[in-house]
Amino acid sequence: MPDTESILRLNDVYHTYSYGTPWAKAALDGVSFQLRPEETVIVTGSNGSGKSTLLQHMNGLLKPERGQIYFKGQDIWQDKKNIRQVRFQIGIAFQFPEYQLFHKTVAEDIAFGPKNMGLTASQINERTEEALFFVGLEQKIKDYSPQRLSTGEKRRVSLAGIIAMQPKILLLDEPTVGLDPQGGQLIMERMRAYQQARGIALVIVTHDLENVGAVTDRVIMMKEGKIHREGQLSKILAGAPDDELPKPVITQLFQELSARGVPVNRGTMLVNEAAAQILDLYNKRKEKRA
Amino acid sequence: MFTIDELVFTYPDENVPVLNGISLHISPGSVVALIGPNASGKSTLARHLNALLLPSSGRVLIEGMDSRDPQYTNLIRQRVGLIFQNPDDQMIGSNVEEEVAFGLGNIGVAPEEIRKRSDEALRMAGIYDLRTQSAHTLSGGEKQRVVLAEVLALRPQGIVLDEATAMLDPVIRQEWLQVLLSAGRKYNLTIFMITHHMDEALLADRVLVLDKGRIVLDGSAAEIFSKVDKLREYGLEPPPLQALMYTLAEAGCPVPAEVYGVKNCAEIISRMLAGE
Amino acid sequence: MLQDITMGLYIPGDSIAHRLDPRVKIILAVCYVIALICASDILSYGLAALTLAGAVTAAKIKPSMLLRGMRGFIVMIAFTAVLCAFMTPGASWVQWGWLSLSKEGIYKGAQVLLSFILFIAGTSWLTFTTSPLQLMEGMSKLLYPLRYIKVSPQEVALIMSISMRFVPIMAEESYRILNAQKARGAYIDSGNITQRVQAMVSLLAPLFIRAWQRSETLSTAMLCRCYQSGAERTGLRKMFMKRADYTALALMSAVLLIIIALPDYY
Repeated sequence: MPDTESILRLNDVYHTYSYGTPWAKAALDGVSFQLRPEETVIVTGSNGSGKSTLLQHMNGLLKPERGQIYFKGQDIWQDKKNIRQVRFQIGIAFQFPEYQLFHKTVAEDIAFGPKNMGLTASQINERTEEALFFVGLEQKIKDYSPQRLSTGEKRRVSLAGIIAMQPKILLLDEPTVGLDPQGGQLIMERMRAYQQARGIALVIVTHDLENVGAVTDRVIMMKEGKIHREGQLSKILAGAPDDELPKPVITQLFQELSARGVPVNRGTMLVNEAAAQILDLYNKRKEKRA
Repeated sequence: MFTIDELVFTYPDENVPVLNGISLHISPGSVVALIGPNASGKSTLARHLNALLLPSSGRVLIEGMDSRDPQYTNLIRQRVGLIFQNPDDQMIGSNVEEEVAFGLGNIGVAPEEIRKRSDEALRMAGIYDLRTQSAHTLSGGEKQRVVLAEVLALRPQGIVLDEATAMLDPVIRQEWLQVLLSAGRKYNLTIFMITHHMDEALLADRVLVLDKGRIVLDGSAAEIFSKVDKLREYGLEPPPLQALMYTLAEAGCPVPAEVYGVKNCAEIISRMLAGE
Repeated sequence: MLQDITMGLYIPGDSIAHRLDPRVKIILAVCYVIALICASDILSYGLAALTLAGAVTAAKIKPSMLLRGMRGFIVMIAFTAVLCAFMTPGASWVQWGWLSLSKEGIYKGAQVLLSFILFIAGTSWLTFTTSPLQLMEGMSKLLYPLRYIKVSPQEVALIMSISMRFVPIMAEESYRILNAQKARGAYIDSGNITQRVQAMVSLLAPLFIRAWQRSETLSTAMLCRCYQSGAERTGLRKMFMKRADYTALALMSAVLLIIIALPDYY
């Protein structure tokens, strides 16, 4: 069924790892999912729930055992020869992508994808500079060895290597893990800015809802290879029990306040939103008294 | 437990010291969190606490033993267990009970005693039922419990965590920390944890902030996290409740800078709104 | 693909084979390999295959697991066998242009093919039934005589067992790098032969870097667990020989003797 609404659509996808061995494990157990252009979706869930497997299906790194994946209405596995073209248009950054940096210079590493796309040297150069700009790195580091950079910088170089392919969809697996809080925030700000500038779709696998949650339209929660909950983050936070999804501390506070009769939103998660609500109440009371 | 005097450390082939004059005293049985931006020298400091690295100048005493004295090296490593981020990089055996027995085998404990001590450690870590399983069938959280059991089996006085929870999901992370802290209480262990998760640092009795190889802040968790401006200067963010209180105070609300937990914070806010 | 390599993996179990003394299992494997080297006729290979079948049954391993382990090596084995077949001199039997194949060549090729398959299956049997630490302990006991030439048997055994442990780690690591490069359009599962070979070469650089990093962390972790090179270690179990061990040794020696004693037909 061709559709114009979604840029990517998964239809009842199944996947089993190590099929036929003692440690065979169903990783995806009938997942259907639609992604709209320019949308941001967060995928969360405990380790081993199938999040990363799902992500690798989205750009054709893994082939479903059963089910189809449509990119712009086309089944990506219909013609196996086209799978490279699909991968160029759906960029993916794995966990700790900096482990995979191996070229002599930053520029060479960023150019790896564009070179494989068959672009000319000047196009590649242009894209490298643009990608460095988007991840917030100075142009002069182009000739540095990646090994000289800090963890946060290395990660941004890895992301630049993917942005340089100018994908229509960007898939990020735990982009903030192992970074200090400001490093993590910086990455999220940059990715968000890039998404808006280019109007692409963004799918982020993460546990770090407090840092990443701010950018979200929709959250998918995976459990045992299935989509377990889906919807707005605040609604999921209000609905999911603690052992499934630990409530961010601000949400705990707001549920406590609400229990004490303070009229606040029980699904609040971010510090800014929380502060705005409390200040609003505080100012209203002050006016009333005055 | 640990006494550090004027510790300076420079890696061979480099000019700039990674640790630049650290002096600290950490008392037995305390829980200490070390936070700081990436590349501030946290891991390097952790590796001085069990004689994996030796000071370029200054000294590190572990239970009074100088880490530079080679006769103590093995004893120091028995007394202080170090746990890293990725359990796969720390497991030598492929079966849980053999893995836990590895350290005991290295210090020449007799087989019956190995069995006794590793069983106790497996129970403490809550993985006794998994003891005959092979390592690669375990989840990340279970693997990190195996690593913890292996450390506990050596009956240490202190445990140092180098971002040991970074690869665990939030639910598993909390469970693992609870197992660690209850072992800590039972055996009166000194726990020294490096973390990027500020909520973990809140579990500590004392928080240290490391920046460019120096300890720049040192105090109770409540005290340290009330210094929001300072923290941001060092590339750190306070935990959400503290950040909220700071934002409210900046906007002119009468709230204290130091808060202790959700209940305390709810109390302060509801009183403020009631006009008390 | 690389992730299919099951060599070096341990499958926990409680079969007769799992319970054998690790020293005995190592000796069995060594005898088996010697038998394979000595084997030259169909009877010998048959006997070796029978021995393997017996061992696999005693280990309760599914034959499909052994086959799976073979998949990663199949190209290499086939290539060697074909090369052998054509390189062996002899009276030409089939002729395609300048390529000629002799009866001796075909025989030699088949022999190489069989030896390889039986060899990989046999060594996989050892690692499937013996955990790396058991292997290490067994090895260091067997290598005890090395002491007399001032080499630490424990260290040699440890190096061997860590290299075994590294096989699956490296397989996983290469899978990860492979995926990351595939995602950026490297010709790994597509493209012509030259493109694929080039892609494989650019896989090696990051793999070496990661291997080095991971082995460094592993050795640090070992130091943290009080490992000292050259020091005496103890194990969880005392090793002692049971009746099954003696029986297995007796059977294996018989097989080895027969294979050596069988006259060569060629």
